[in-house]
Amino acid sequence: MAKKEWSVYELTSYLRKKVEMDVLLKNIYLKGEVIRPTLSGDHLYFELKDLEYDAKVKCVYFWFDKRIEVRHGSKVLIKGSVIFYEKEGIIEIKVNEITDIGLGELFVKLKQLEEKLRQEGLFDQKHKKEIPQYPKRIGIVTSKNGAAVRDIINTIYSKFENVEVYIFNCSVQGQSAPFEICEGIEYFNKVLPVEVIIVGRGGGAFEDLMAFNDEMVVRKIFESEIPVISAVGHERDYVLTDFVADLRAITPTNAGEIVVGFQNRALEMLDEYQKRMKRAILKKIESDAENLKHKIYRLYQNSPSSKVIKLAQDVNLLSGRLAFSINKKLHSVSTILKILEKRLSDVNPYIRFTRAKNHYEMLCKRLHTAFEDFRKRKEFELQLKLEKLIALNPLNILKRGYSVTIHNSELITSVKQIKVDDEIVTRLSDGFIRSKVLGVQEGVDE
Amino acid sequence: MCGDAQNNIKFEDAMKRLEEIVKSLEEGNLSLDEAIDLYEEGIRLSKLCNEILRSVEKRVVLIEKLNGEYVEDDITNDIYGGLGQKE
Repeated sequence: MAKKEWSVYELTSYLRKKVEMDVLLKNIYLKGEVIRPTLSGDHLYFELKDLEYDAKVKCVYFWFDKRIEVRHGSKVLIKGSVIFYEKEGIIEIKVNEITDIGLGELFVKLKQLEEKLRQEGLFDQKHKKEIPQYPKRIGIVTSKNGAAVRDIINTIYSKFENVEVYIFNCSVQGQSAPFEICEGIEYFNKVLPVEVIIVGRGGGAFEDLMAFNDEMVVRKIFESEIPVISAVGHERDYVLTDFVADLRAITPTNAGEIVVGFQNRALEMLDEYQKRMKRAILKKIESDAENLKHKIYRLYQNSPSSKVIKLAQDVNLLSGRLAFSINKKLHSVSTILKILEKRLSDVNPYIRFTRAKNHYEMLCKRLHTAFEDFRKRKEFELQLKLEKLIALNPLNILKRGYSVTIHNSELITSVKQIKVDDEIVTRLSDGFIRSKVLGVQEGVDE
Repeated sequence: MCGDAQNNIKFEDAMKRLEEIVKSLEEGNLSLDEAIDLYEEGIRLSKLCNEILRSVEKRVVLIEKLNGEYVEDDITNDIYGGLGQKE
């Protein structure tokens, strides 16, 4: 026969129906102590703890009236129905009514004790000792097996290495816990001196923290000569040691931070101070060096040797200018001189005489030359004329057979000058012939 | 304890003085000589403070009562082994 296979949903649905069908589970009254009530929206969630046995059940109060005060540890009577949540697989009480049946017995006692100790002034601010900022020896009173001691040590050494930690191992819950805690505080006060004591433990149920609500422990902390930090549970857990201690740490980790916080910060500060000092002194030196350089430069500029150089340069410049202006003056004077010389020479009698003489000589020369030229020309002309004359000498012509006839001392050139019987003289080259004209014929032809 | 307390006072004074020195060096209204003197003092103080801060070595001691006697056990080299199992 095959076994039936269930799905989870089938099972939870089945259980839900079973629970819902059971009339005994409807509108029941339930008595217990409220554990960790939390409000989420309009709904209140908490656990109800059995007053004698270790048993709990989850409760939810929908549309909870916020005016009702439901505190952790309150003893209450609730009216509601048991329901089974098929999605979560859990039983819950759906609360319809909640009635406070008085504070938990423990809580009442605690309140009374707190009130008594407060009246005595144990929690007064004036008794608080200052927590040393730079402790080198730290005492811890807690269980060596707890999470708290690890949290404290981890925190301390992660922040600052150079401290000594003394752990006094003790129970932190149970009947002997208060005695052992007191022993630890006593030990550090009498046997092994430390600068600050951390007393604490990790979080736990309200009753787990009861050792730290113990009157003996509270009084021991009050009597401690050494400052005490209370470090119990979580932030929302308040115990009496928190009130009596010189300082309350919200958690054991926080206690670790407190005891080395300043030293850790001091290291950072020292580092920062050193850096800032170095930066400042370097800046100072640099600016002074710059200043010095500037001064040296100015000093050099104003030193005698550079003054001499500067003066020499000035002298050079001035002498140059002087020479230039002298030269200029000289030049202009010499120009004037030249002009004057020229003008003077222009009026020099000797020079004028010489010049006149030269002029005279030149004129003489020119005259001579002109005369010579004239003479030569005339001579030449004469020669020409002479030659011409020679050429025209009638005797020469006569020699060649020609003759000249003259009549009455007149040269006969035409027949018309002659008449018959005229006496004519014919000149030949070597004498004369006297003749009488027999006839005259005109024309050349014979 | 007394020595430590004095050290603490010295340390805090030294830190305070150091802060003053840093501020006056940063303000820069000092002659070079003054600045160098202050700087030397500051470095000396910061060394002193460092020495004070570092004067103690890490040390973890577990004290337990065994058979009515208090026993101190140095567990520096094996802190968590010395503390036992985590709960």
